Amino acid sequence: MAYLLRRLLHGALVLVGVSVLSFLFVQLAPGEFFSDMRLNPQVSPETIRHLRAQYGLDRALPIRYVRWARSVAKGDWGYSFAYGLPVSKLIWSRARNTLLLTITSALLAWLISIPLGIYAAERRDRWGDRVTVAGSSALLTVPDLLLALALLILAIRTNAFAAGGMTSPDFAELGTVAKIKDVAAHFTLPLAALVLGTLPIFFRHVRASMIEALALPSIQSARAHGIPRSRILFRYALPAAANSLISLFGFSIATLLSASLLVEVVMSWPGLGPMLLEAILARDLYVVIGAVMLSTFFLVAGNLVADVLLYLSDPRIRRGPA
Amino acid sequence: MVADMVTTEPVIRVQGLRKTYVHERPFSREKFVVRALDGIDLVISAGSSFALVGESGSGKSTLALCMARLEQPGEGRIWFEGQDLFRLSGPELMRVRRHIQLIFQGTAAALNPRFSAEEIIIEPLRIQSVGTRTEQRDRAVHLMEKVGLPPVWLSRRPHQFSGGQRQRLAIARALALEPRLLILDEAFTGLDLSIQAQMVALLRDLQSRENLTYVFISHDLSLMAHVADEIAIFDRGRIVEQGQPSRLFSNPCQPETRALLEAIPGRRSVLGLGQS
Amino acid sequence: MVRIAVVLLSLLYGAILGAGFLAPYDPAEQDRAHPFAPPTRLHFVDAEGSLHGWPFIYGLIPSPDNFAEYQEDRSRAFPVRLFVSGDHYSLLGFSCRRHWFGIDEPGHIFLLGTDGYGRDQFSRLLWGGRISLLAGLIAAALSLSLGMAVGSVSGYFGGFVDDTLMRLVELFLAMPWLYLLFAVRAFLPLHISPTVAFFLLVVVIGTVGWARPARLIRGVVLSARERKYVLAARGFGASDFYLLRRHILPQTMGVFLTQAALLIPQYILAEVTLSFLGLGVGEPVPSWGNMLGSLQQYHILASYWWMLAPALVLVPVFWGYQVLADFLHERLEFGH
Repeated sequence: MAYLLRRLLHGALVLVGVSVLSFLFVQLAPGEFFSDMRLNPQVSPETIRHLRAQYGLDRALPIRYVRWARSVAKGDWGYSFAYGLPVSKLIWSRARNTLLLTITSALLAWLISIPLGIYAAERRDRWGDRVTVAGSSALLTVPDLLLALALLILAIRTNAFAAGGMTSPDFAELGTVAKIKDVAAHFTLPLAALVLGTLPIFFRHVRASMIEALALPSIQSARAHGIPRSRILFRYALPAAANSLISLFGFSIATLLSASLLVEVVMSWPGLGPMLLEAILARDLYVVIGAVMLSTFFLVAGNLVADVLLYLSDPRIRRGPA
Repeated sequence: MVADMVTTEPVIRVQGLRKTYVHERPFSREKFVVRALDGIDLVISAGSSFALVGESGSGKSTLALCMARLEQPGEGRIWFEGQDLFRLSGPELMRVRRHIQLIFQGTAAALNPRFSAEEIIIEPLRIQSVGTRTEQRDRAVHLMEKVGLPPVWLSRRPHQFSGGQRQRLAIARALALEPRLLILDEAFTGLDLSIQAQMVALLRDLQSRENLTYVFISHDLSLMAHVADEIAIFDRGRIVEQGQPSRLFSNPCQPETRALLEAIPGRRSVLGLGQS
Repeated sequence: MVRIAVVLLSLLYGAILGAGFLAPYDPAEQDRAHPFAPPTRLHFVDAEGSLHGWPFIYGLIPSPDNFAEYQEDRSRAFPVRLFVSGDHYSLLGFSCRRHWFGIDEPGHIFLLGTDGYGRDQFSRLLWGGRISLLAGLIAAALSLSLGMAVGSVSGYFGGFVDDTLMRLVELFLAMPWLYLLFAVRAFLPLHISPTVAFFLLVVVIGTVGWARPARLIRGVVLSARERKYVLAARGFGASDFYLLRRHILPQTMGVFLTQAALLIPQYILAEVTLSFLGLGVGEPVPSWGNMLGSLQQYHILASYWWMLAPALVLVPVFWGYQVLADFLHERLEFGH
């Protein structure tokens, strides 16, 4: 129990640290939201000064941080300059879409890579292994960008999938079932891009962990005892590899979040990615920080889940130091 | 000055040495306190062979590290040829370091696998900036011959040597700076018996030729009986008994000594003593 | 296989370094008469059916029925010429005019077609490669140096320094790196000259990725520090600096190289991604990223397949580095 609380505290500290780090980057920023406005001769300096004071940009950095922290506590997460709304309102619907994409991709990628990895590890250096490893290596050489673009071209040429966006123009008029089908249709392409992009990485890790587990002396002796192969695989090797597999789960969240950023932008999936990009181009400070914080939050949460799973699965951690 | 005192002053004098290791767990209140050395006093005279015998974990290696000034004791002092070892610093310390050499347990780990034999042997010369490149190379040849290894092997890597040969290499390296005191930590462990015998012979030979003082660390009481002039029995950080091998074997006082003696297989044949 | 990879990568890097000579045109030169021209086809058989020993091309004219498409103008054949004199470029400070191949005026040879402004994609690919490939290399060097420094200090000296540095590492690793990259880029001026952009990009990418190498190198340093031969050297009076230099840092070479092989392609992709989205190197300097930028418009993506060339050329780059990384990784495991 103490272990879990410690991990929770650790996660919270990380989030605070990240927020400070993000804010520090602000200090380095020579440009800001109102820079372009300053160049506009029609806008008077007084107006700009007034706007800056309104948004608190004229105060020193630590004060800005405190005000922002208070805003987070209130639930607003700062203000968007471009939209004039609290950041949280803007972010949440986008975050939902990103989560939908990321979590589904994660599940699908794991669902495919775990059995495949086990299969490959078991048949190490034999035909089955070589083929899968070659396939995954081939997939790895294709950068995410190319993958996304290629899938888009495929969609456009064959007209098989809905390309781009999350919904069709006539979405509002559709019935509930049709709505779900519509989203699902738009969902396939980004999902495919993400899964194909991350599948080879996960597969490699699963395979490596299983190979390591299968080389353990305990497995060798089980084999010597004549225990059937499938039993060894699932009752001995898999639990031995569980630790490393679970920590990979945490790491996979990070990979997926980064990959989803690009995929969302290219395929116009309305998630955190496009919003971040927009905010950057508009220099909408607090939105940028909000998006970074949220993505970090997901990552920390993912790792925490991995920690909990580890705690539940590994009795050594439960027992604590000997 | 120091040379004159060699005959009268003991090479090593240890007084009241204490060292404890504390293992702390972060965020926990448990602390594990290990008393590696719990009040050690001993005197070793020049030209002799002293043995520290005890079970693993009894603190022998810690004492060896302290004597080589690779570990700091918590309490107590060590004098080397009359100088307080832990008060030395700078060039003084560098000079004294030449005189005390430690040969480690486990040959494979003690030699950098990426270095050639020559680089290993002359490393101490390099660090202390002794001699020119050519002088160092000549010294390496000389040292290889001294420990009975063919100088043509100077270009080989440690993994190309056998265990016993690596041990000789380690000894050659230790001799590079012409030390006065050689501390050998489990120098014979893991070697075949015949190689052990060769090692003993080599060390005896070197001792008389180079006028060395030896401190052996071992758990092998019977072997030490052959090699040492005086044996100190270690147990949990303290010296429980000390004396000449013959006395210890015929008349052990402490239970720990007796236990060690009993553990020797074929005890009666050791030192040719008929009594048990 | 490693040898093929090394040769391939050397060829690629050699090609981009020799971009001036190998590219027939200046990357900024526009041919407004031929926007989105498809790749020029090389012919060996002419209209009459006779075989030529040397390739030649036809000019392009707009199609009579479809304005957006082109047709070959078979009235005049242009043989491919070698070592022609063309636009100026500078090579190691010298101004040269000789190019590997070219076509007499008024013909044009667009091996990989043209973009919306009629600029030769093949030339731009070579010149753009400089930005993308070198950005990856330099940023990786930056990351690795930082990581090496932090990792060595942290692992060797331990204690408070180690704790603080590793906390920092954890913070950096806790953020999804692309988000972090974007965030850092966000807080830099948007409209900057391409040269400044290049350096800024390199620094930003390099600063984001130092954490993982730092942690790995710290691990190696920690274990190397405990080796008996280090202790022995200390017994001879070796200084910290000597120990680090002679014994400990050489051990980190394996990790260093493997990380390099892993990071460089990632960083190349980072530059391409940022430039693609308009956050990296901008017009008119070509980079593989900003060349792909126009593909964000669906009609371009669907109709002009040759514009994908910069993305396609990434595949052999990735492959080469992947093979290298695997090879180095294996050697590390079974090295000593």
